[in-house]
Amino acid sequence: MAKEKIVIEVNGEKRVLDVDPDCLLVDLLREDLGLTGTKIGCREGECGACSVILNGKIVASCLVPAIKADGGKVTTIEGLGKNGELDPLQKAFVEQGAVQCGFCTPAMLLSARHLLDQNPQPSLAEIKTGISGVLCRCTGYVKIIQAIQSIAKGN
Amino acid sequence: MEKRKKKVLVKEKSKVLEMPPVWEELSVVGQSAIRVEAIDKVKGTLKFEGDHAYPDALIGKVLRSPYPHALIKRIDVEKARTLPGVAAVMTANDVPGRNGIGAVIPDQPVICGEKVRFVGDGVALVAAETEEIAIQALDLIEVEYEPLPPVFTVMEALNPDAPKIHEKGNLLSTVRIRKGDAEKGFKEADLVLEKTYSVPFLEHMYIEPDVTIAIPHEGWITVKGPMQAPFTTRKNIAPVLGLPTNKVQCVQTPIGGGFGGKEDSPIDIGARAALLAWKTGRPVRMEYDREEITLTTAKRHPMVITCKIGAKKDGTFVAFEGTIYDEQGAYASLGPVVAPAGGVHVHACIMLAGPYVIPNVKVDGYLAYTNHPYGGAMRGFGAPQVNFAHESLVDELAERLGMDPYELRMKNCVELGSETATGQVLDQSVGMKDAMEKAREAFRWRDLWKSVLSPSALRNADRQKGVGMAIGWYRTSIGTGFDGAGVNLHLQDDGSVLVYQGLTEMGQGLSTVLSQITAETLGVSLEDVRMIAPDTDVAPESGPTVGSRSTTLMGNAIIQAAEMIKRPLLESASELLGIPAERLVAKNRIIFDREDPGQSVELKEAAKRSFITGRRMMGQGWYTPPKTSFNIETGQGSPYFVYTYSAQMAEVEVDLKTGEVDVLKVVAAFDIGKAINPILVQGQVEGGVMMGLGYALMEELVLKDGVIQNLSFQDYIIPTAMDAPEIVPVFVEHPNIHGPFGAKGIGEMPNIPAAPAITNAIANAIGARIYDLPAHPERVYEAFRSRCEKKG
Amino acid sequence: MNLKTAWVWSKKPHWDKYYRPETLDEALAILERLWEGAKVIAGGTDLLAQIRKKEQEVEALVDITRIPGLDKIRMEGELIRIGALVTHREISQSPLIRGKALALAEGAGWVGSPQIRNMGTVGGNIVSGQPGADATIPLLALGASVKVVSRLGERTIPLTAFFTGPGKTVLDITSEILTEISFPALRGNEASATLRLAKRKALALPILTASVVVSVDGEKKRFDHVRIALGPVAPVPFRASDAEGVLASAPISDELIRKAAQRAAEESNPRSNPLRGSETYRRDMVAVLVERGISKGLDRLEVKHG
Repeated sequence: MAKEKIVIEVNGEKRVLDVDPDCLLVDLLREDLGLTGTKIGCREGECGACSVILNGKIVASCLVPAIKADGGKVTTIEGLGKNGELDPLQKAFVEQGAVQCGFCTPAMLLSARHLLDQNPQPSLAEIKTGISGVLCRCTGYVKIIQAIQSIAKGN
Repeated sequence: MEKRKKKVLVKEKSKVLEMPPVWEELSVVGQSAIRVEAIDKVKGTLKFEGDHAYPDALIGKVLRSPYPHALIKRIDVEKARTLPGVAAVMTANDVPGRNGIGAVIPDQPVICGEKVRFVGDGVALVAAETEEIAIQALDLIEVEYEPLPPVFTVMEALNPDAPKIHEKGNLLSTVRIRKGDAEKGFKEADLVLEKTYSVPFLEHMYIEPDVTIAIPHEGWITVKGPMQAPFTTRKNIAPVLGLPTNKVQCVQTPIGGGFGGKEDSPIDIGARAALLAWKTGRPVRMEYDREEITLTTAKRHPMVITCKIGAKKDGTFVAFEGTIYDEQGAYASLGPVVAPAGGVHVHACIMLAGPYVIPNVKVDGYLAYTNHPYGGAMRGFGAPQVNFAHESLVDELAERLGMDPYELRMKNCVELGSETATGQVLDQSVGMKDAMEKAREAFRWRDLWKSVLSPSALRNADRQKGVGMAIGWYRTSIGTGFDGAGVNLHLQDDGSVLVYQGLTEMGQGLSTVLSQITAETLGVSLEDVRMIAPDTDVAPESGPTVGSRSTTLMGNAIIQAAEMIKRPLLESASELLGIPAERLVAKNRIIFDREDPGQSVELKEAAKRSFITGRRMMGQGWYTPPKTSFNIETGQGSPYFVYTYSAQMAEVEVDLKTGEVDVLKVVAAFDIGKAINPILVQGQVEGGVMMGLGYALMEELVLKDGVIQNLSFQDYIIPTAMDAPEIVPVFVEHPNIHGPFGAKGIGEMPNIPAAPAITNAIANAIGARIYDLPAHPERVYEAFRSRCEKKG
Repeated sequence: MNLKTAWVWSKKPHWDKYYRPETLDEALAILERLWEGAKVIAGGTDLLAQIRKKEQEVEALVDITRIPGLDKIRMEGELIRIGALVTHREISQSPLIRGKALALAEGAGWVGSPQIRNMGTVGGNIVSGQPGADATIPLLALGASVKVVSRLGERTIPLTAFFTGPGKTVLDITSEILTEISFPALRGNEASATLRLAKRKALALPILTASVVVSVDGEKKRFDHVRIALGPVAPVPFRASDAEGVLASAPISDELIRKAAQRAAEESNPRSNPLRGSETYRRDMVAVLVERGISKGLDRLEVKHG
């Protein structure tokens, strides 16, 4: 299979890569770029652990062919936070016990960041909808929702 | 800072123990300290095993049986073996050691040679350079099966004419509990109620898939991956390879959710990867896809439970009888009895009568093999199933007696000094009633509970709210003969500490809690403690991370180990300060004179002195809980040394026309002995209640002819954020004298009474009972409709 | 599927080539050249999972998301025209759709999760041919037609004639691409609603989806017409035409609505499914959702009914 050249901006950095036609974005990020913060839980877009922000929208990267992302911008968990500082959401998750096993955490944070970027003062229902694409088996979602609420209130 | 002791009323004919001393003011234990690995997790820098790449490793895959029960007549792997890129193809003949694995009984072939016993059973292993080649190789393996008649229910399995799944027959364990005279007791009852309940197979659905890397060395092997029980895993892999235990190293990597599933799935995937690695001499990476995990790993046991309760008019329980038909599935896993009271089945039988004082109890349990995937450990270990049964029954009894279900439970539940169904006197740490009272207050039960409305009143309503409650109890630890926890602590000369132990962090907060206990006991601060990830080459035997045992047992072991270091450390400090060691206290990196706190020295100075003077700076702890007892013929004994208690109350709203249920709020109260870290305990409660909600409303493996119909997240549905109710954790502390700072277990308790609290609330809303889980919309709809049709 | 490897899932879906045509002509040429070996991919949320599970085998994917002009929502005369590449999210948030085709916005808003809605397209939803597809059902109630383009030209097909069986449509995948969906915008005397029944509130395939369009006469005393679309209750997305007949030009009354809902339950044909529910339950739910849908439509028109 002949490889194709694509250009993707990942966490603010332009990357030029040769990929197989059937390479998936999640595998490109994890294997080719070593960004293993994005996780794989099911490979069918149901668990949401592979969520990244692609061109300003939260998507399941296990369902995105890498070539489809050519010319696009991707933010992964490694790109959250500025200048080595934790994003306020990350701080809130840490301080308020919103992290247990941590496997869904990157996806939850990106979903929450995306939600707040679109809607800085979401209602409880909007928060629940906003993170509904990521399954968590550990936390019962309670402290995750509380952490997001605390940031939304302009903390 | 005086130590206070409280004396407790001694009840006639029962001995209760003195309450433990209230500890001196604690500085680390009891704090909601931040999880030690939280920052790594939020940054995404913590690497799970699947995040590591091994470019030179082979990829391992398993060929699996499409039949639930069949003989293997012939297997031909030649074409697969000769495919370019294939390094090994293994069949049963190629297993160098024992072709059997199992957490209790090694009755599961690593590679089936003679027959297969469930859809997904492994019949061959392949190791190849890439996944694609491995899959092609699987396709080239020719297997000729002779299907055998399958057995799919316990009742079928117990039939003397049933096909034998294992040579020794289908009945794996039986348990009897006989207390008093149940028959006589029922005759004395004013009201007797008998019902049958059924609960399905459940799947853990931890978000991190099972994965492993097996790396062979000269004469020994390393197996790494997420695993809750590195020592059990090692003990199983060694004989498969024909190696002694000390030649297998099992290393635990961060676990993305376990819930009991990763107690034995790592044995399955680890043994197979190890076989391939041992054969090829190269590292082998094996990863199960989501569907494969659901297909083949251990589940929550399905049960059919019949129970009968007899009570007086005033609500006093006089007799209880129960029968459990417990489906083990194809292999033994964690089901069978491990003397005296270990294993899912015996635990379920012991818990069936509930946390109640009942003079006459008769329980019979039957654990049988079937040609289905097998039951193992899943959060609660048999308790969720039986709790659903007894709490539904007691609730329905309350209705029949015209009593508030809270009052009925309060009248009969255990308290300090009570005798249980197994004749155990609960001589300490019984906060059942306290937890119930706190739940009632937080939930405003008195305001919200009301009798069920009649069907005519509900006829035109679209939605109806209801409230319900359930109580439960759960043991700390596993009730087996071996139940120990070992730890090595090393204090460094700069005051930092290394901890080597073998219990595993899987999100519950173990690393943090044990670090807090270490810090508190040694007098250092939390940041000074570093726990080394469990590695069987390096950590002392610790047992598995299950049964809500970790904080209690390992906490005690750490306290023991710390004492070995502390005495010499205080001596060193004493030399530096010129103050007798008995007056010295170590806290927050300072060692000071209890009587004159201004006289102090930094702990690290004392540590340096200990080092220079050759004093002991390492401690070892080995803790085994008080001996327990249980006779499986009479069901009498003291099977577990302490219990955690919980009362949960739920408010739901039912759409009467569709059967959909919204859970609005759950108050979950616990007697946890001591909250070592309150925010982490809250997290366990919230997550556990959600799991209970899943059990109540939506989770079940649907099987047809032995084939699971819902293998993935799409069709095996677990709660999402949109299903989350308000959850209010409430804690009371009745200290456990056998626990560190009074603590006892919490990991599993939250998901136990949650399900019946919700189904009892549904019953309160619709006036009809759910006897089979899950209470999905169709079941609720049917129950309500039947009730309306009956009453007109 | 090979019985031996029935229990093997390829971790990753496979295809040999990934095309990104920039015009429809280019795309159609590739489809024709590769015949059945090529599949069109828009959002990919359905297709990739199917390929991975070997429910579909492909040599090549033809990504049409770079073709301009297929991602707009606009009003043209009385018609709303939606490009095939418009995502579920865009539909659920579009003021035009929310204002003049609310049932579609509601249906689209329930697809999967935000992650799926951001990628999944309305065109992909229709072409999947699923009897319960979340955008298809409201579009059916809205009387939608689809435009299908080939090298020979274009044709407009009413959605009622588009589906031939579960997962099957009249689209010739070797030569045609669905480019647009259009339907008459709801007028002042019309309202719509979509209701959904599922086992949990997100990421759930529906037990039943019902979309209803209600129109009333000037005095708000009689129905003008009602359109009822349901799925999955039949091999294809389904219009309950008998039930619609009960209410055509009929007086507005709860009794008649109930009768129509009952009729809809009788004429639909759900089958018992171990995961979705029994036939009787699904049929009963048709009646419940249709009744509620019509009521909701009337409420939205501020029509009092009893």
